[in-house]
Amino acid sequence: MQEKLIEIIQKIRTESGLPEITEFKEEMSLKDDLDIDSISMAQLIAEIDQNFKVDINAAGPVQTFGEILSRLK
Amino acid sequence: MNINKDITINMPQMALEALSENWLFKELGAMHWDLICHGLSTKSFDLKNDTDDRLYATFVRIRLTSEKNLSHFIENDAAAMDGSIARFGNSMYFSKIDFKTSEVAFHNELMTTFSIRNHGDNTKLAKSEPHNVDNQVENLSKLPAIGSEYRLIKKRVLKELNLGNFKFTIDYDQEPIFTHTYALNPFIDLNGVNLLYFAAYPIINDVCESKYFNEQLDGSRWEQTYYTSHKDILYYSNCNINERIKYELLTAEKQGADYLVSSLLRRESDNEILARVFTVKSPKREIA
Repeated sequence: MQEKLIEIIQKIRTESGLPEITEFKEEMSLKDDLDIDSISMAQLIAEIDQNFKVDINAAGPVQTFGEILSRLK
Repeated sequence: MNINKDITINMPQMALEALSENWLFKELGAMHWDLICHGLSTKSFDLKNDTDDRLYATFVRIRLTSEKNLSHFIENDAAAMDGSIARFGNSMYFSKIDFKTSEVAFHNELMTTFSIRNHGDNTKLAKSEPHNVDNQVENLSKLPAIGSEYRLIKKRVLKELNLGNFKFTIDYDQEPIFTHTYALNPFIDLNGVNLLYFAAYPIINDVCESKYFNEQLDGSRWEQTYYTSHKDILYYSNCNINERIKYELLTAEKQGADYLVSSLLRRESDNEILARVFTVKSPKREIA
């Protein structure tokens, strides 16, 4: 699951013209550390929904990589 | 999800002996919004997020392309509008709306998200999404190009933009060749909830642009000589009623009979970009 999530984030970053992240940490901020802007966030939510059938925003907006992981468990 | 509409072009739809670009933007926005509300089986007034805040459609990008310019629409023409909509996830909506007569067709693409207002400050709109709706709008599996391109331009990555058959080279560090400051006209620039209306951006842009070109022409007026055939607006931000807008003309290139013009609109108070605008204008139709 974590590998698939990282793959999705890397793909979104690549499509945004950003380099791949070499190391992911749970405390990483989606906005500040992973450069996930509003369009990328909408894409992330949509791709997680398509891949995991989970609405990660259902319990309120997620802020960090770790929060997404915990909502996928 | 489709909507069709027939319209006769009369004075309310016209400006400068052509189809009014301002009217066209408003009409496209209204149809886009109708398509969303129809697809969500709700009225715009009732559209709310999970904390019961009223949602407003926020335009992200609008792209108009046509082989002929707005001067090819003539009074009493019968025009048809044909629109369809799809979404990517729950927050991004993409419509394609054709506006055409027997003589000319404008192909228009609109992209919106949803925002809530924070304490009435138009510079701090927050993204949100509809809650508790029966969503019948087709959900796309991939972010459409109009959205991914927007992101690449906002991140200053995309170097070339195609608009119809025209190509713009984007230099993000380009110094403006002309600037003009525009004081908002609240009676026409602000919408029903006091936000800078998405349809005002292109007109503010063109008002400022004409200041530059009218200095270049020999007596004739730019507004009555060259008309829009393509326009691409990337919306970044909004502003409050007391704001002044700084227009920056970045490029003005003549290609054959056409002018390719690119520009920025900024908030004067903090220099934040409100919109990036790409326009192609061509000479007025010849009247037999």
